[in-house]
Amino acid sequence: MNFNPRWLSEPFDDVRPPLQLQMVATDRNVSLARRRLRDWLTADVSSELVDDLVLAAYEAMTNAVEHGYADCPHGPVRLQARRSSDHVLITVSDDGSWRVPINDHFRGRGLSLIRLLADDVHIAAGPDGTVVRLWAEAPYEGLAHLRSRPAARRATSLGPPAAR
Amino acid sequence: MPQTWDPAEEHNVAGDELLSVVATTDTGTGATILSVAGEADMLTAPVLRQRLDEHFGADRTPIIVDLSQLEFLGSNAIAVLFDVHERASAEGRAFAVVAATRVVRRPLQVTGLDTTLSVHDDLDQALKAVHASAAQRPHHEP
Repeated sequence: MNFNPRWLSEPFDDVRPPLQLQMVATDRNVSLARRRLRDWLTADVSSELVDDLVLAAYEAMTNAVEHGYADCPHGPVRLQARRSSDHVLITVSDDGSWRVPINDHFRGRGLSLIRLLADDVHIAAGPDGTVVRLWAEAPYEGLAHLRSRPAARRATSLGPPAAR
Repeated sequence: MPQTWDPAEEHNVAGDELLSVVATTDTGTGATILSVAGEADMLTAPVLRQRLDEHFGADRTPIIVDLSQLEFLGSNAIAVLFDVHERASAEGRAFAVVAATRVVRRPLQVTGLDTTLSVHDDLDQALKAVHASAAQRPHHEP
């Protein structure tokens, strides 16, 4: 059972309009959505965190394409990215049902990859669809001066964000 | 949510336009160097697999996959690298990867592949590694 992290129920104060894309779940569409997400994040997120979140969100979208619609291909996949003054929240959702891959060494790693790349991850999977939420601490420094995140912070990124 | 987005209206791209693999031969070691550029993801992983497979000839020359020009590396393409590594091991063929940039290093690191594969910061190091590995291997035909 999924433990619900606190950030899931707290209000999220957007500092700019979210990115919202709904597309047919194909390998080509999610590749192009990845580029859109990269452009959207690059405006005010450090380059290292952009790399990590783009990869994590892409892995979530590929799961939707590969596993979410195994029975009925070309269902929808939705990507939403939101920016607050100190966090980024990315949501990838589909209407399919994921199958947990068993004997596939690396497909199975897609999920663990997602968990390692974001500060916290919440996955709600049911018969009507799957919602993956990626949460990352990302100090907002306006549009101009983007610095790399300190290395020490990434080292502690496995658990939920620390209480502030 | 907005209306369904159709990226075909903005771009119409095929997998082999987003990823390129250029093969060269190192005269010193005889190694085949495959320089991969572009984006290695779910869309282009089949192209990557096909292009790498083409260079597995009968002669067991070392293979180096140079990812220095790669702009994205996803788990589908990592699975291809892992399979190629397994195949090279089974054939007794030296195999090394050049991963210079964070965008390539990071996914290899979080999947643990950086310790399974022979990963190097630059081509010179990779050439030295395949040379040393080829020298260690007893020379016999199967």
